[in-house]
Amino acid sequence: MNREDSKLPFEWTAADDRLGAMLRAQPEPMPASNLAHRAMMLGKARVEESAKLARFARLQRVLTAIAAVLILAIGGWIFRSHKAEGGFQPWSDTGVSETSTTVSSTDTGSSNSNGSEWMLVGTVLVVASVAVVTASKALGDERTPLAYS
Amino acid sequence: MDLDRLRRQEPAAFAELVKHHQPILLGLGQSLGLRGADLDDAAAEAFAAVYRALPRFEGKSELGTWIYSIGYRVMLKARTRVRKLAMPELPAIDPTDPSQSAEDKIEADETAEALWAAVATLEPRQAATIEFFYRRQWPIDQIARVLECPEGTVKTLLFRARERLHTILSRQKTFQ
Repeated sequence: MNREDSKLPFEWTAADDRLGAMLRAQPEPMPASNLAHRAMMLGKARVEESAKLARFARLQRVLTAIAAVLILAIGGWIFRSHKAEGGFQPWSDTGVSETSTTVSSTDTGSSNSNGSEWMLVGTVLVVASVAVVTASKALGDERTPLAYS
Repeated sequence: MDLDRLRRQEPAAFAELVKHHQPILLGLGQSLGLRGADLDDAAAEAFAAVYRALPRFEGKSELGTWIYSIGYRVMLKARTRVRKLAMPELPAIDPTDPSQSAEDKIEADETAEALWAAVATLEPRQAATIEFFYRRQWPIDQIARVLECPEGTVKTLLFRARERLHTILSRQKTFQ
């Protein structure tokens, strides 16, 4: 072979001839007799796997959306019912009422109670959101590698 | 090859495609350092990827170029997965050559082993370029289409790989 090609980035030498000859002298690797069949089976399996993964991802998105709507709805409902009962007390006001209102101990107690519930509602919502996101991610991580294995 | 039958993923047409293109893909895997079962697995994965993509083949490029592009990407992934590359383990060059003395044959085998070990340790795109350019005798533009890079990049890859191989092989007696 003599590749006298103007496109070549080097001058073709006898060493290139030897290199090419040695590479071509190497027998071609023997293919497995059932390569086509195996590839077809593998291809079909991957298609099914991808479809399964896509279905799972869709389901996961729907469940996450439902969970988000539920969290917002429950949160909204609690907020609304508390507001109807007299509303939430700002944290700073609660603190003031605790220290300055010595006469009206009942009111202070009510403010404290409202504040604690408010905090509880917030904590529950945050924990629920984190749980939904974590569960969703954990399931996704568990399933995703199957498509590429 | 009947593209419509291939797009419909007909088993007979696909078997014909595999038979026709497997030597190039297996050779590419060999140059990337894959051997034995790893090479078989990588080839099966490459053709499986081709099989899945066949219905979407639009015929904008040559079928062979398209297959080798997909095959190259899959082989690269397989190479990354098979961290420990088996280097030699290749049959000796022309074992029936009567003109070779026993000593020459041993020397030639050693050179061949050194050559393939050197090719397998090249950066993957360099190894693929060497395979396509020297072994398959493809022109630069065809290699560029398969590797999906500009011709200038192929020239650079070829130049560097050639320099490296010449340096390694110049130490071998039978190569001088």
